Amino acid sequence: MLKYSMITPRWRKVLADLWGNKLRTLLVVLSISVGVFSVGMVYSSYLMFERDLALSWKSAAPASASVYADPFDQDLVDSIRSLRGVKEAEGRRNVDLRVRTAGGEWRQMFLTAIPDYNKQKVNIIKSQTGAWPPGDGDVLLERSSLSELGLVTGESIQVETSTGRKRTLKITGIVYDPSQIPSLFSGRSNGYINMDTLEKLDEERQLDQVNFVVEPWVLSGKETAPIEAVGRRAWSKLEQGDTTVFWLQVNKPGEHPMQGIINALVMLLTVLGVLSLLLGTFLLVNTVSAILTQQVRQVGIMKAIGARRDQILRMYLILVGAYGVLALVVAAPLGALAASAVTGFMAQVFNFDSGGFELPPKVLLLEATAAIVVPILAAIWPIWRGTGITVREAVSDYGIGNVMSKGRLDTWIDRLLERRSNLSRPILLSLRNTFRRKGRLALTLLTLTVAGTVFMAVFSIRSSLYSTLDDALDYFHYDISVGFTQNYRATRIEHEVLKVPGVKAAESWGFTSGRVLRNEQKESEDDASKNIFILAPPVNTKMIQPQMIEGRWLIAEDESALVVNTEALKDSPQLKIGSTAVLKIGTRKLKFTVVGIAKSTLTGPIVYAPYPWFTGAIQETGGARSVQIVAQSANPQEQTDLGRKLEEHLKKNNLRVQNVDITWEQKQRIRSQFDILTVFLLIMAVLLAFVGALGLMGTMGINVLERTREIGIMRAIGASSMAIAKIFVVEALCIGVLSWLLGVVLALPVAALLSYQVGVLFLQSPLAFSFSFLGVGIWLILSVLLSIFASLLPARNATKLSVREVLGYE
Amino acid sequence: MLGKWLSGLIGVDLPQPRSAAAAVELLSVRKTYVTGAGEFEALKGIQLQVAAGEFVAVVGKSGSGKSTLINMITGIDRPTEGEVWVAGIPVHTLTENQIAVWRGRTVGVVFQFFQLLPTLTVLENVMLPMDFCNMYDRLERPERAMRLLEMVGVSEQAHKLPANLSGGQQQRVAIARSLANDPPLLVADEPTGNLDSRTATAVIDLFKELATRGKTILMVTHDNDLARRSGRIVTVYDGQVMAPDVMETDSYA
Repeated sequence: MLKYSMITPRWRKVLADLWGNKLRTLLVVLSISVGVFSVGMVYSSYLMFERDLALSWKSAAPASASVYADPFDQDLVDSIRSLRGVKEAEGRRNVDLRVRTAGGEWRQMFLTAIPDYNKQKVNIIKSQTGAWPPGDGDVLLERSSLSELGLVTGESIQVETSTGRKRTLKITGIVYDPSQIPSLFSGRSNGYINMDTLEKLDEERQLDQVNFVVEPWVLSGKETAPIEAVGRRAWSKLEQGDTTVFWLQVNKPGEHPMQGIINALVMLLTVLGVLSLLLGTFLLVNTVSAILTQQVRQVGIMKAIGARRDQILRMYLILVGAYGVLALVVAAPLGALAASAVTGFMAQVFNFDSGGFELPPKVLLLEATAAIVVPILAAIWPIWRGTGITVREAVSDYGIGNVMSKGRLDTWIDRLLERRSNLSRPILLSLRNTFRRKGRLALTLLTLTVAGTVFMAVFSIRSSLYSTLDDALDYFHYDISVGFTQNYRATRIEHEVLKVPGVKAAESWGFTSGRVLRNEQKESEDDASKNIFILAPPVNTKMIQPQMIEGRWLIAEDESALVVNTEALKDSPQLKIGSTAVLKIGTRKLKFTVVGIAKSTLTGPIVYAPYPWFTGAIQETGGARSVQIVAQSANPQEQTDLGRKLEEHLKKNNLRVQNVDITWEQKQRIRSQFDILTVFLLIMAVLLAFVGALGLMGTMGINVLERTREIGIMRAIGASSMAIAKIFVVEALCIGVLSWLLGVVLALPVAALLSYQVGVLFLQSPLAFSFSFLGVGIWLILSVLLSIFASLLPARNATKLSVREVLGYE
Repeated sequence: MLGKWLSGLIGVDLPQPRSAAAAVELLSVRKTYVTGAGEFEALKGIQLQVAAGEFVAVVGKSGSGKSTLINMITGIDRPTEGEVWVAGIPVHTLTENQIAVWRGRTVGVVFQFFQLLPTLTVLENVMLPMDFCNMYDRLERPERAMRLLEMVGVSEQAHKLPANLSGGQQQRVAIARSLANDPPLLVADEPTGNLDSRTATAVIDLFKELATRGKTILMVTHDNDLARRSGRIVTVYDGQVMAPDVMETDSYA
């Protein structure tokens, strides 16, 4: 007896509703959980990598900017340090050479020589394990390069110097370089050596990179312009020291260089979280309305024996709250687990230190809101409506849904169905049933359609990424590009290259870097553009195929003509067809006339000048610094081998090779970067498809429960289990296919919008949009499968009911 | 606007009952339903007075309006015209919420199909009205419910779910529930419609006994034999009360 005093009967009813229908409770809890899980996962991983990335990045004392140039001496670094606005400057030497991996392949590796490892002040490298600092002939590997190379501490690596000699270095330790772009993205391995080792690699004891940090007063927020201004002075300083400067890399203050990509991922995850929550809420509204429909009579009885509307309202709201609490208990730990997995994965991909797991109260608060407040708010309307029923209406509810007077939609559907007079009665029943509960149908359709739209959009983003890449690579008609450390005579280069078996064609280009000035005046040097590359191919080149947007490509008669690409225009919008462009190359200023604008395709800012005129103008007539090669074989492996042979041959013939780039390897590398994004997108699509299926299953389950009596009647007049199951499966299929149709319509604009956003965040320019019909096909198949799967369980439940049970059903 | 809406939801203060009134008094009650087929007048000016402690059987053919009449008295439905007074309270003027509270305390309702909540035990079903209307001390409620179940003779089944009880037992539970808040008026709509004749007689006997204890009882039935066992028969025909029969009834006082 005593136990009754603890919980009053009405709360026992709430408990019984929770516990009594476990499948329904499971469904509701799952639908809330999905949203809570996603929101929690996204928010807490966002917080975690915001915290960890910033911490790792700050601990490195990252450079405000770096200037890359041909080799120079330490005194130039000192003169940059003494520039006004520069707080600290440090020089380094980078050697790009080939190393043999554990697998026996040759790969490109960046060896960085640092003058004093113990006095690092900018872009600090930290020892992880093993020796510190590296001794003569030793190399310390960056931790993100380990898996690329497949080597471990204690082993030796064989490297090939720019003169073609082979040397062996010993791996004595592992370091962490937070400011380095991780190997996965750069496609290169990184190692660290001391200045003595440089000589062993046939390089002079000189520097070619200056990293500097500006004084705090220089900065204004996250602006890069003030840093650039200082960078240009550093650039000029180096040029005065008689060296060619290639590149000024300016970092956004306090921001990781991969921030853009991370932002793109966070944006996608946020979309996922919000959508899951939204869809979960739709599901909940459907289920709560259904519970109330089922309990119309119970509501009526409670009212008949004296319950007020607000009492009943509170009972059902508490029921929803209880579902929410259960969902929170399920989803919060799972969300935290997933967040730490996501952060761990991100830490590995982006090479930062994961600061360990943390569940801040604000995440829990957000989760609790998503689990309890959102469902209660969403349920208020259906509950308000459901509890408004009068006793008379409730008691006269026979358990067979009343068909409302026909609306325009029904008439239209009926007319549509009449034309198909060969349809069987049960199929007609399924089709009519589909449109019976319009509110529920609308919410189910909405859930499935959103899921489908995102699913198809994801496939389109993926194919847009790939088509952007293909577009970009359409530009490259050569298979291998070789860059040299200095200018050589073009005829000599081509002569040597063509000697290597397997080379079909070769073309040498002038290549240098410079900046676009606003005009010829001296002051304009201070607000010149960021650096651009100047490519001087023969005008009739077949090695590249720039897509012209405006104007024309270079012709043989051209002298000071210039074609600029759209990337270069971003920084120098004053350039128009027919306008004058002033380029500062080294200490020279050259005047050009812009004749054409080409579309840039993942290539960075490039301007094209006619080879003969340009090499003459910079007094390197007949010289070239790079050569592009077409291989005879289309086989990627053979092209890689050819690159290797070319390098060996050129080095043997005293041409100092700086880099050998194999086009397909680059393509592969970009593709694998894109794949990180697509994997995220696919996870997102699958999760949403799951929510969609859950929604459909819920709806079908509700439909079965609601039509229990109808099923009994059909049973009584001789319907087989198969026939009854079919009615529900066909109804689900109808919903599935309908949502697919709606999704297809919506997918196009959504995909276009998302791929624009992803492009801007990920590549700084919109993607070449390509709609994926594959995605449309896959989603059609998936929605058919999901529909069948989602309706099977409810349909089976329907067939298990006996006539006696069903007609006695209250 | 919101304030009015809220007070409609929460405000449950009942007006002061008029003193020295009849247990039930209907004055020129009309009820018109608007259906797809046009207007339908279910009650056409009903006049009815029932004194406290009376056991009245309302009889009539299907569709005569007897259920509608009963629904006017319980506040389940509202008259289109006329007044409904129950124990001095003008039921026709109350809001939905006021009616709910008023009904919970004043009227015990017994349905044809018992209408017990399937997920609650018999005892809990009986306690539920006390819970909703906040009547009796929380600790007292289970004992009171048990006493009511003993009175109707189903205390053995107190901890079972309704589905495990026979029809007669379920109806006894429903009667026990209708008595939970000790209402002066008991309204039963075809309480024996789903019971065999022996069980039905037992239920009627129970009603008679309750009437001797001072409860006013209104029972709708179409079984004239059972009706004859009540204290007074009110015949409804075509939405109107027929002139009272001067027929023999069992004495029960």
